[in-house]
Order: sequence, then C-alpha cells, then structure tokens
Amino acid sequence: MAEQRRNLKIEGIAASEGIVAGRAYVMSKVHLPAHQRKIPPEQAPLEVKRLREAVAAAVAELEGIKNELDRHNAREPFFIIDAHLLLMQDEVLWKEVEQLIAEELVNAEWALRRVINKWMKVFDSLSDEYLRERGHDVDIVGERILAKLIGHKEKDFSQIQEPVIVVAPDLRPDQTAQMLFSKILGFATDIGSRTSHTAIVARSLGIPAVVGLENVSRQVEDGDLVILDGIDGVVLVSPDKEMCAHYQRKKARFDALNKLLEDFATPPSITQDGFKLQLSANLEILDEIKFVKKYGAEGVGLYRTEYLYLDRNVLPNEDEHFENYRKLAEAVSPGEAVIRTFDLGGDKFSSQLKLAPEMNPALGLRAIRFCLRSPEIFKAQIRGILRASAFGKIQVMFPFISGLEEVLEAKRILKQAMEELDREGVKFDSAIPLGIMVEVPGAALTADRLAEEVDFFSIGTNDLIQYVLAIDRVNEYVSYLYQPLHPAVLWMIKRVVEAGHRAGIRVAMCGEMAGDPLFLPVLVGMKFDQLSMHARTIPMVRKVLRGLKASELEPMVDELMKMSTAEQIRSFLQARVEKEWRDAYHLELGDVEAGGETIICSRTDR
Amino acid sequence: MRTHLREIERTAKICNRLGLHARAAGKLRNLAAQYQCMIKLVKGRLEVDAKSILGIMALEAAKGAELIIRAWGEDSEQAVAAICRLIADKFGEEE
Repeated sequence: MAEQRRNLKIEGIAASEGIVAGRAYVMSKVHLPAHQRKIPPEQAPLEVKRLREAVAAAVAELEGIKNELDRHNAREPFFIIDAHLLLMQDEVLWKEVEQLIAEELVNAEWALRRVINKWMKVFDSLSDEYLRERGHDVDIVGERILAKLIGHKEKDFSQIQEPVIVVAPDLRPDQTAQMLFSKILGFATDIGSRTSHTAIVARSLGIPAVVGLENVSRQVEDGDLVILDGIDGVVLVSPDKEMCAHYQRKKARFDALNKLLEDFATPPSITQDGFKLQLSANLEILDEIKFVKKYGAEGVGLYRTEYLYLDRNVLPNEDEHFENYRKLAEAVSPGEAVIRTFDLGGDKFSSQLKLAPEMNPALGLRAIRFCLRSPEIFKAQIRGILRASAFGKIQVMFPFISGLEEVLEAKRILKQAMEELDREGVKFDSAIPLGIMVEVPGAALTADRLAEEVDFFSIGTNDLIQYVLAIDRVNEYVSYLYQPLHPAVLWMIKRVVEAGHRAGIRVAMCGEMAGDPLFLPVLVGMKFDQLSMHARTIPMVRKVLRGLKASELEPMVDELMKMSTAEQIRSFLQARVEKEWRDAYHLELGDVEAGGETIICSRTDR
Repeated sequence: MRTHLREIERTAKICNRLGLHARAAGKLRNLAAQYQCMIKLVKGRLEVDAKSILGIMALEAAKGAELIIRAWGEDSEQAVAAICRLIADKFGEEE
C-alpha cells in the first residue's frame, strides 16, 4: 500500500507559509455515538448529574485552552471559544435536556443529542446567514459535552510525543490554535480556503498549512511520511530521498531569505540617490491587515472588497460595509487605505447577484459598469466607505473605468451619497480622495482627460496587459503572450504616468507587475509615486529599491522604449541585474545545506 | 401559576444596526440573568427565554423588529425596564 503512495503529490491551497516534514497524524471526523437507553425513573437524577458534570468538565476544558492561548499571546481564536462558552452557559439548553431525561426516561447522551439536533434545525431555518452558521457552533458544543459524557478522549494535541503533521477533514480554529504549544509541525485539511477561519489562525500563528486538499484525510494513513509545502500548497506523501533533499533545500532557502529580509521590513523606501517610492499593500481580506505592519507596508494601496460579497445569499448592507472599512481605517492609521469598490462579474463569481451568463464576461457587465446599472447596491458600499472616512484616512477608487462618462457618473453618485449623509447629520471626510483604476486601454489612452477629474490613478496591470495584448491569461495556449515588458504595454503605462503627473496627481501601480523586482528599475525610471503589492513581497522590493539609482533609470527607460520586443527588454534588464545591479539584487543566503548560496531577488508572490 | 406573580409586559423596537446578533444577544442574556423573574421575548409567533443566548439568536430580530418583553416575578418591573433601556441604548454599540 505504502508503495502505491510513493511520491504521491496532492495539490491544495497554500494557507500558511513554511515547509515541514514529519509523520502523518490522521484525524477522522465522525459524530460520536449517542445510543438510546431507557432508564428507570429513580435513575433520572443520576443522569441529570452526569449531564451537569459533563457540561462543567467541558467548560473547564475550554477555559483551560483559553488560558493557555492567553499565555502564548494567541488570542485570535478567543471569539470562537467565547461563543462556545456562552452556549455552554445557556441554562435553557440544559433544562431542556433535563426535562427530556425526566419525561421520557432516557439516558443523558440521547437526550443531549436530541436537544442539540433540535437547535441545529432551528438555526438551519434562519434566513440570516451569520446566525445560521451559529448552528455549527451548537453542534461543536454538543460534541464536546457528549465526549465528556461517554468518556471519549478527543485526539488531544498535547499528548502527542513526536513531531507530527496533522491530517484531517477539517479543523476548528481552537484546535488550530492549540498546535502552537504542541509538537505539531503543520496541518493539511480536506476543506477550507485561504479565508477560512482555520487558515487565518494558522497564518497568524505561523503554523504551515495546506487546505482544500479534498481527499487528503483518506489518501494519507497514520504514520506515513509527509512533506507539507505551505508555500506552494502541496502535500507529498512517502517522498523518496531525492524529493526530501529537494524540499530540504527549498526550506533552507526560504528560511534564510526570510531572515535576511527582516532588515527590509521597515521604511524608508528610497533609492540610493533619494528617490522615494511609496510601497503599500494589497489586501484581499481585513485579517491580512497585520501584515501591513509586519512587512512595513506604507499604507494599503488596494483593498479588494469582493470577498464581502462572495459565498453568501444576501448582499452586504451599508452597515456591514461601514464596520469593515472603519476597522480598516483604524488599523492602518496613521497611514491611508485605498478602498476599491467591488469588481464583480467577469471572472469573479457571485452567488447572490444572479448575473446571467455572458459570452465574454471579461468584457461584460462588471465592476463600475455593473455599479452604475445597480446604483442601490453601489450606493450601499459608497455610503459605508464615506462613513468610515470619518475614522481614518480612507480613499475611494473605481475599477474598470473605460471613459470619462463613467467617471462623471460615479462621481455624481458619490456626491449624492455625500448630500444624503449631510442631511442625515452623519460625519464623513468631505475631501475624500477619489481615484480610478487604469486597466482598460481606452482609459489609458485618454488619461489626460481623466486626470482632470480624479485625485489619483492606479494602474491595474493584470487587466491592462490582457486587454492591450488581447490574451486570456488563464488560457494556457496563449498565456505565453502575457508579457508585462511588451513595448506596447510599457508605452501605455508610461503615457499614463506622464498624463497623471502633468495634472499633478499621484500615479500608482497595483497589479502583479508592481511586486516583481525585475520590473522595478523600469517603474522607478518612469517615476511612479506608489507601488502596491502583496505585503510579503515588500521587503524584497524595498531591498532592491535601496540598491538602485533613479537618475540612471530615467534615461534607461528611454532606451527601453526604443526596443522592439519584450524579449529584448527582458534580456537587457537581466543583463543589468547580473552586472551593474549585482548588489541591489543579490542576496547572500549563507549556509544553505552545502555551504552558501546566492540568490537573485525575483518575484515571490504567487 | 403565573397569575399571582407580578406580570409586566412592554414592547420595544430593535434600533441598533446589527440587530440581535451574537454580541447584542449576549449582552441581553447577561442582563436578563441578573434578575430572578422569568423573562420571555416574543417576536411574532416565536416566544423564547431571555436568559438563553440560543433563544435570543433564534428570534432573528433585525433592526426595526418589534419585541414584546414579558416578565413574571418579584423584580419583573426592574428587569423589563432594564432590558428596554439596553435595547433603546442600541446595546451600547456606537452608531
């Protein structure tokens, strides 16, 4: 059996960075058995007593976990533990169980299971999605108490003697947190996404994790040797010697790189000759805000708001928007945060907007186009953003603008929302900076006109390149044509920067191109004001920036603009990296396995 | 049984943004638990115990929902007054 799984590679979602290897510790999720047993009337008080003791034991256990987490400064999962404690203290719940024991003369386990099932049903039928999910908490609480009743010992992480990698269908956030003070190296789960609670807790605690592996808990057996690659989201089962050596090197490189880059996790972001470039973070979800500080991001250059809309049945209301953005504003203070209004439609999926399928979603009704057609949905977000602007430095940005009319129409709605709030006496920043994404060629070519109407531009290279070169990035047959250094792309980007600067407004770039160190000299030479990228790539980009000279790069860009192909430009840049910019790009990793390795800074975001 | 206890009934409108979500529900439950009397919350055809977090959440009372608060017992008057105050104060959540 083990032979069949030799070098078995299972791909999932990288939830938390790091590479670890160890024996698998497989947990399977089955509901604990609760068998019905009739009891004589005189035994009822005894069953009630057993129930009460089980509840008390479960409460004590949770309190214990909480204390331990507190000691380790890991308070992220408190919200969920507190919610469970609150449920355990719900007298009404236990009275119902007692009543069932006394009236139907059944054992505590059976009565408990019935009451829990009843409440899960009640919550299942609610229309509020958030409240409906609380049914899951009721289930977990019920299982914890049932475990006490039947004397079931959950595989307890603190009992594990050897370092292991936990493999499970799913893990609760509190289980994840307990790994911090156990011998667990990392974990792999069948379900989950980058934004599930367990993934967020793993990242905040620095435990390597891969989720969304679909079947891993059935493919791996207890004791299998497993390599967990939380960088690329891969699990390797029963790796051979070569594979082990490969990952050992990968891990050593990763560790050494992180250590070195710590030195660059604080501003300033400046070239040798004093050219300042603001390096800010792109955020997918609010919980990533801690990385702004960790990697020394100078504000948030792009806060994507799509996640607020995904995987739910009802649209977020104004208050939800407000709450979310207020937290962002407060967390990023004294820096600023650019909130992009939602870019839905296109390649992004939305369960509740029920958009009709389109032939060409990337060219269809999406982003600002959709917003202008559904002003009520748009306005809920705009009002939320405006209200949050009273709590910190918030800027608003409209995506997928293709021409002036859209800017004017979006501004009209913004103004309307401001007037409404004024009438309602609600505070907001009436001078809130307003910008647009420049990602449609039509907008790039008319940047001069657009610049007069906005406070900043942010170039979205992912889309811009796709539309300028007419290639579908996800189509593997044409993806080789996706060339950020294509002369047409560079020409268009340069034009946008110049148009913005002529009008005296800030020009930023927030696409993937901004986080690739190879492109940095070009962007500095074009005199960008701000680059926004995954927070963890900031230290590397900053390191390279500090080794460059802006005065040399401006003429270099002029040279590049005369070249004819992306390949020529790329070779030119790579040659410079090798020769003239060695110090800027090279990192001496020192003792990686066989004594010393030098690497060239290149893109780390995936 | 209930008749010879002091019964109090009042109506209140939920006016905080999030309605009776977990946090507000927890506050209401903790307040109710400080009183000896029996307290029920009624919304439409649903009646739940105000000392049960589960019950309160299951009411699914959003902003604008009308609740009847009913209490029997020695301190029922104080209890109902305190609960109405908490609801009117938007559960101490800032607007």
